[in-house]
Amino acid sequence: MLVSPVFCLVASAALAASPSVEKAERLRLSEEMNSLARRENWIGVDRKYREMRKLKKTQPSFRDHNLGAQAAYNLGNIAGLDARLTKALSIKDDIKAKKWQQRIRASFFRVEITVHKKYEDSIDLKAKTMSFEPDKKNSIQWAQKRLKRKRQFKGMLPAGEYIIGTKQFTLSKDQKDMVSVTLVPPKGEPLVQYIGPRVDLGASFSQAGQAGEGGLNSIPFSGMGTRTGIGITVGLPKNLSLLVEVGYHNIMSSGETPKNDLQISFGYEETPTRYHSAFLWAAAGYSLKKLSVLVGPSFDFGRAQVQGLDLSTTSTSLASRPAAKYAPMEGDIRAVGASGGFGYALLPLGQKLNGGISTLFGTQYDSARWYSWGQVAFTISPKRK
Amino acid sequence: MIIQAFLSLLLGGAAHAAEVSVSSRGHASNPVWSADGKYVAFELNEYSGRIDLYTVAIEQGVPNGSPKQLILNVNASNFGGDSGIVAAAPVWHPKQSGVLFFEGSYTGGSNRIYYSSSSSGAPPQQLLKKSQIKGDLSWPAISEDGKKLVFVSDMTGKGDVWSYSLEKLELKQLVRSEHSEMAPRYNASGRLSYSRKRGGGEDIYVLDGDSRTTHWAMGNGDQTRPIWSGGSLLFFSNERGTSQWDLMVADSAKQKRRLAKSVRLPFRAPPALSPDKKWVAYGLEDSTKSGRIWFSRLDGSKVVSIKTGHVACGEPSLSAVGSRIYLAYTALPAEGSDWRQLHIRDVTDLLQ
Repeated sequence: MLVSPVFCLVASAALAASPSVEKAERLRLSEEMNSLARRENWIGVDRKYREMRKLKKTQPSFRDHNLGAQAAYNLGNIAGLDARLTKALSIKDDIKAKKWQQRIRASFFRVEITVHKKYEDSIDLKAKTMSFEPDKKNSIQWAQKRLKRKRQFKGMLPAGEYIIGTKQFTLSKDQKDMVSVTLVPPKGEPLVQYIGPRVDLGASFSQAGQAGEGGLNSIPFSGMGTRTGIGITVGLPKNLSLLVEVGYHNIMSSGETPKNDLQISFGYEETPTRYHSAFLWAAAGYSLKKLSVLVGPSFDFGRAQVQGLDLSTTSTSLASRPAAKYAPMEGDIRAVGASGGFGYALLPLGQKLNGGISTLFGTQYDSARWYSWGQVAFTISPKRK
Repeated sequence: MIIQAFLSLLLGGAAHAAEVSVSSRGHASNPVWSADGKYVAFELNEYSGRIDLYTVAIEQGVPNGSPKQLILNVNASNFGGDSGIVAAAPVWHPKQSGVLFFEGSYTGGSNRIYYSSSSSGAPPQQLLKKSQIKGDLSWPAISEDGKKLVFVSDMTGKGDVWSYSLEKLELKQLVRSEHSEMAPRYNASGRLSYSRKRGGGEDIYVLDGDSRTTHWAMGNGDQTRPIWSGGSLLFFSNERGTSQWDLMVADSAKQKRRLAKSVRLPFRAPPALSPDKKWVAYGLEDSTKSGRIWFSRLDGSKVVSIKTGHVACGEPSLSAVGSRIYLAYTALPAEGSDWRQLHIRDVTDLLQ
């Protein structure tokens, strides 16, 4: 009982691979091809022909290749037609098939179109003039389908001018080699669009707020001054930019002159407010036409001299009120905060720069008090590309 | 006048007669000249359900080589059971030499319009895929400028007239009705004539633009297969009786006149106009006159004929090549012959 199934299995395997079985299969496929061809089901004929080509121990006949060629022809696969006619002609030197191949090679020309996987634009192949002749029309439609499905077409198209994506190409009788067309994605926008200097120069009003507890401190102070910055702007895609600016900021205002008796009796003197600082500002910007906005962290490293001790920051026993009022105070400031502003480009300064007006403001904190300032500045900045 | 012309033909034209031999069995019918006069397409009909289409090259009025059969499928003729394959109703492209359109169908399949180019060496292909337009497609005809193919489709039930732009590759339905339309043809200015089967008879209509329809010719029986000659329409009419066909001309709507009585109705062709559109050729049913091909001037001023030496002459078709005018016609070689044969004759002297 065991022998019989094993024998059957071996026998059937041997039979399946035998040339006679494959020959019978070829004949069956050949008949099916003819039947399908009579109904002009060329997709079916093509499929059967491909099945036939997979048989290893038998080969399609001249007639099979010829019908396969006709299927390829009706589907628009002209390169397939040419290859199948070549196979047919290798079996039989048929005048009709030879003439057909000659005509095809005189009217259709080889082209390879490759579309990069990251290419996103249209890959619709368009012929400048589309022929009503079915073979030419079908061949273009075949190429269009292959491109959509596989993003690649290697085949034959009729002479003419074509457009695909951003590329144009021409197929003509004069060409000897295959025309190659490759569609690659356009190079991405560069990260850095432009680099240029920025200068802000203008008058400012600054004020230092009430000091908190934690040490001897001056009274709040304020005053007019100047603020000058110079830096570099780096233009980024999508109208964005980065700015790094260093500069100088000051307050220059007078103090209060003590009355004569206080000057004489106690030697009190007027102490003008002097604030000198270097600042560092890093900001991100966004521009829309002529308008721009900037905001980012800023650091101030300064030294200030003011008149008046804030009694709330020390014991009243240390000083009398007049003494505190006229006491010269001096100290270093290390403050961190944020600065920002708006700019409007008014006029071009050469080809790369704009001149405009900016309104800038900022606030910083040095662990004792808040400092805030505002500025109207003439600004030179790079033109946006 | 007729006698003069006849004598002239006997003296000058006989040397230019030629027969187109086909080895296959069947009646030669419906010869159609290409616009350049280099080819004649014709059908071979054995009346067994199969119609074959042939083309033959013509040089100076003489067949140049054997007729070539247009086979729909390169392998179809190599296997049995070809009956039911029909390739018929040829129409040559007026501007592209050797380009031919025709009706074709396989057994049990739809009638479709095929394209073939004598220079391509390739088998014919369907011009319009079923994905573009379904149904049976028939009565193909091309505008004189070669830009539009007009035909009938039964996709919506009865036959309607469609146009296919050979430039823009666009389909357009021109006429739609609950009746059957047939035999559409454009004239040079874009007017469309067609016939419509309505009730018991067939009448002729003209479409101007997209929608202005004129009932051009009517009467008892059928008025059918119109063809333009300038602004006039020639057509066949059997208003005198079912089997009595007359050749009519209508110079304007409802103004018809008879050019010839009891003509032999061609198998499927319209009246055969000369290239200059001044003459129309026809055969006659009368057995005493059927050995000749007859020519009438469209203005009715003249009738001439040519003796062929054959019997039952009919289905004439005319072409001009340079200054020569050639006639193709079919006829039986003699009484009792099996098959009608195709013949070519130079009729220049007769019609000039």
